[in-house]
Amino acid sequence: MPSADTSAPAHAPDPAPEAATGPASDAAPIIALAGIEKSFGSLDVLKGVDLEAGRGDVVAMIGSSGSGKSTLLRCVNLLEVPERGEITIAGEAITFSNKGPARVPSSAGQVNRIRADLSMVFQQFNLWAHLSILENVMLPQRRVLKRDRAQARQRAIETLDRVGIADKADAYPSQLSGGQQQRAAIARALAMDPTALLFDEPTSALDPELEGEVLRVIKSLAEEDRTMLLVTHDMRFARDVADKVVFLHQGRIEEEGTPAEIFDSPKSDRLQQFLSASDHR
Amino acid sequence: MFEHCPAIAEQVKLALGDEALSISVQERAQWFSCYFTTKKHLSIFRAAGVVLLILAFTVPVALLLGFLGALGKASRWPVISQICSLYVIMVRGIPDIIFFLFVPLTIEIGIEYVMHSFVYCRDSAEPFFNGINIQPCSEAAIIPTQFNRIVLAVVAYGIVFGSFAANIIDGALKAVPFGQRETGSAFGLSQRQVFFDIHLPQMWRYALPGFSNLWLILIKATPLLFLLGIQDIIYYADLLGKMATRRYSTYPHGDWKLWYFIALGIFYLALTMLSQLVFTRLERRFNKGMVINETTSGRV
Ligand SMILES: Nc1ncnc2c1ncn2[C@@H]1O[C@H](COP(=O)(O)OP(=O)(O)OP(=O)(O)O)[C@@H](O)[C@H]1O
Ligand SMILES: [Mg+2]
Repeated sequence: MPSADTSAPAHAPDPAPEAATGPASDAAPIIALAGIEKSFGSLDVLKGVDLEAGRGDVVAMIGSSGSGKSTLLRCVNLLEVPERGEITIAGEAITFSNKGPARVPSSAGQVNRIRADLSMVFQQFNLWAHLSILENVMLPQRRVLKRDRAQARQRAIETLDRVGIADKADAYPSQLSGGQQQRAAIARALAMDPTALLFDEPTSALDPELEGEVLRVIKSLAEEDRTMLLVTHDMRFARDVADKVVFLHQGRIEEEGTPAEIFDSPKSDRLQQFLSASDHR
Repeated sequence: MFEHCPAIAEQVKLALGDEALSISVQERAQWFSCYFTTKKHLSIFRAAGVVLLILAFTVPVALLLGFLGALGKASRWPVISQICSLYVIMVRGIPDIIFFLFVPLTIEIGIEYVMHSFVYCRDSAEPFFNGINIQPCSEAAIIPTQFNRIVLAVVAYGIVFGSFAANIIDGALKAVPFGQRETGSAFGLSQRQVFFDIHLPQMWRYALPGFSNLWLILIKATPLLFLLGIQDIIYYADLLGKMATRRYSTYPHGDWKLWYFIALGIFYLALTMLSQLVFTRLERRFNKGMVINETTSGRV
């Protein structure tokens, strides 16, 4: 990527003037993180992370427990606010006020807009317990996208059908198996028609025999050229679906590359250790 | 409708004097139907109605104050959050009975003071606080009518029970798993939407047992109404149950207090049982989908 070109800024290959950071020129990455730093009290969790996901990219994040994967993912949709660093979603930079631990996004409206555009799937599913599956999928569509009841319902049924649980539409989350709940959560995320999907270890709360059904759904999404940022502990799956794999270690990106590069010829000792410990074959 | 009553009363009264004459069942029934519809008896029924009325009006007031207290406690303005915290702690630590005396009195004096100083008697030379006495001018003095007393009762009960309610609501709001709310935010719902679409609906399930308790305590606190000068059902039960001699009463009878108090007991029991029924239904409704002692997670 870096060229010997003289005048042009290092990463503005398109002819558009650099000031134009309005909503997505096609070449702009969907997710761009630069210099992200985040700490909890005295614990520095992220120590300057850069990460990019272009349109249609599936980026898998791996790393040992506590390395900051979830925290990084949660910085993307601002569930955590990094003390330093820039977050740019589809060309739109998040604006912040204050500095250091007091730093906050300066516009709640912007944050909510960005969040609606980046649907998240949680490790613990987090379906709303008081709503039926159908209502779960409809609620954010109605409230955030302002779709009317009929539209929201139709889209909900489509996505539930897509993940194979349309027959459970009227059940409550607690009446479903873990795998079904996670598929419902994926349907809820899909129904928002987001620009990108964020997954945080979507199968690690599941029994091994239920993992497969969820992984199949995610894989089919990856094959549709959706932009996805995925934290996973399942190396085989990462290799299978990802275009790019990022290895996070102690709050830094230790190594990144294609699945082949990461899994077949890891360069750093840390990654080699991590991979041999996680038995990815 | 009860024109026959004087005659029946007289007849039975006479019969009571003459042991030889027995009173027929029909006469007895007529006598009772007349007895229970005397002016005094209508008052005890009205008093029961007043209790129900006060209960019915106290609930929304207490709920409102409860929500204000619980939400205010978390306010970002220190003044508001401290007042609300105080409100919650204060009533928890002080016996209710003191509050039932203190709150209405304070409200009464407060209103009289405002009326005296700013509305009616601005020109009057008489000070409101005259040494240890409180002397509103005649226009400003609150006339202790039944209506005023009921309003005062509702406000006093509302404040006392609002504080208990605030406690319950505070706990219930905190009991909703954070992940449930955070997920709402993660999808771009505003703070308001998260509150009304997720937090509040899930809160009830945790608050209902407390509310159910509180409602029973409220019902059982209604006999304290006499402290506010309201002639309540207990006052009338005591009055009507007293022995009535033939000489002074159209409807003479012995000491029937026991029966009157048994009736009162049944009234309260019926009220609490009915409430249980309602709460069971509410609980069933708000528990829908919510697994006890579990969040949505962990069912694997
Ligand atoms: N809200 C928080 N408050 C304090 N510390 C936190 C918080 N969230 C995360 N941490 C700490 O930050 C570190 C990184 O956590 P994070 O959840 O990002 O790790 P992870 O890579 O996702 O781990 P895992 O694979 O176990 O999910 C951990 O040491 C964790 O204890
Ligand atoms: Mg994690």
